[in-house]
Amino acid sequence: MRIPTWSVPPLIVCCFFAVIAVGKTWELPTMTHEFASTAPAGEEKEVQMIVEGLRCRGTSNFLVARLQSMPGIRGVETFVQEHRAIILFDAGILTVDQIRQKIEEPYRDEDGSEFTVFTVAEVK
Amino acid sequence: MTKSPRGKTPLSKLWSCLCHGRTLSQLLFTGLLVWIGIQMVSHPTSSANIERYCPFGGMETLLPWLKGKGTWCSLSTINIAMLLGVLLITLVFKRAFCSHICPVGTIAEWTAKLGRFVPFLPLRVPKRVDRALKWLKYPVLVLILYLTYVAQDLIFRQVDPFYVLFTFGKGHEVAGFSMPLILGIIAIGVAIPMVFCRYLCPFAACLTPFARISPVQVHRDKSKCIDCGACDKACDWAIDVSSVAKVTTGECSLCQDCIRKCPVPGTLYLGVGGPIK
Repeated sequence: MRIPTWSVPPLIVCCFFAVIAVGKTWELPTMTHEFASTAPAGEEKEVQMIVEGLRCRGTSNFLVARLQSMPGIRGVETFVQEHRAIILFDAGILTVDQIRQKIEEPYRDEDGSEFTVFTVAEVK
Repeated sequence: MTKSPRGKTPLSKLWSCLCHGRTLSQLLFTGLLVWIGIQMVSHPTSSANIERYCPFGGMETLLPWLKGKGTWCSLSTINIAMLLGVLLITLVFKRAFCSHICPVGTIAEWTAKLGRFVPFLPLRVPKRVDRALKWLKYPVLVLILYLTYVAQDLIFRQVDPFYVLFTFGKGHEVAGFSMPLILGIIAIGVAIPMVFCRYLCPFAACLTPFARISPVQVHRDKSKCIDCGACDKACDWAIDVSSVAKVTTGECSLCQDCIRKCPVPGTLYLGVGGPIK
C-alpha cells in the first residue's frame, strides 16, 4: 500500500504535541518522602503550595531537608514541572503559616550572606 | 537567474523546500526550542527549561522512575511521555523523529546541505568503516545511562549537543570546552553528513532497533529504476537506496530526500510492507 509523502510530517507533529499534552496533564511526583511513623497528635492535613525556586531534584532535596527538620511534618511530595509541593502535616503541632515561613526562610551562606531560595507564590 | 538541470531556479528550489511539511516541522521545533533556550538563559528563575523537552531525558530518568526513586534533575513526566511517544512514532515511521523533530538532527542536516556546495564533499565513509562506526552509539548509550543512574544527575550536560547548543553555551554546568567541541563535531558534518547522528547519538541507539521493525518503508520499483544513483547521493545517512527493493534499515529517517531527488516519478515511494526482508 502506498502512503502519500505529504501525510508523514503532519502526523508526526500531531503525535508529538499530543504526547507533550499528555505529559503536561498527568504529572507524576519528582520526589516523595514520608517521615512520620507514629500517629499524629492532631488532625493530619495536606497543603498544596506553588513554590517559586522549586525547579529540579536538587531544589526538591533542599526543600525536603528544610521541612524534615520541622516537627509535625509528615510527608512531602514535589512536582518540579509545576513548581508544586504537597505537604502532609500534623495540624495539632503546625500551621500552614509556620510551614510557609520555614520554606521562605533565607539561606545563610558560609560567608554570612543571605539569599532567598524559595518564595511561596500560592497556597491551595 | 541560472537554472538547475531539472529546470528549477535556486529560489524556486528554496520555496518548494519551505513548502515541504518536513522543513516546516523542523523550523517549528527548532524555533520553539531556540525561544525556550532564550527564556531559560535570560530569566534563570523562570520555569523555561529545555531539558524538559528532551525525550532522551525520559530515557535517562525512566529506570529511577520505575524503581520509585522519582525523576532526575528537572526531568518530569513530559520527558517520559515524549520518550514513549517517540518510540511509538518510530515503530510506525522509522526514525522520522530525527528528520522531522530533533533540533540536533535539523542542525546536522542543514550542515550536511552546506557541504554539498563545497567541491569534493561530502566524503563517503568506506562501507566497512561506516558499519563499524555505527555500533559506537550503543556503548555511548550504555555509558550515559549507567553513569547518569549512578550519579543521580545529568552529568553529560557538558557534552550534550542539545543542551549546549540550545542554552547557547550558557546553561548550568556547561564547560568552556563544551561549545567548541560541539561546534567541531557539527563542522565535521560538513564533510561527513550527519556524523553525530549516525555514529554517536545515544538516542539514535534507542530508536534504531524499533525503526528496524517499522512497517513504513521507502520502496523502489525496479522496473522503473534507471540506476542513476541519485537516491544514494541524496541520502545524508549514506543508505544505498538504489541497491534494495525496500529500505528496511533502522538508520532510515524517512526524510524522503531520495524520493524527491529521483528523476523518474513513481520509482521510489513510501509504502507499507513486511518489516524485515
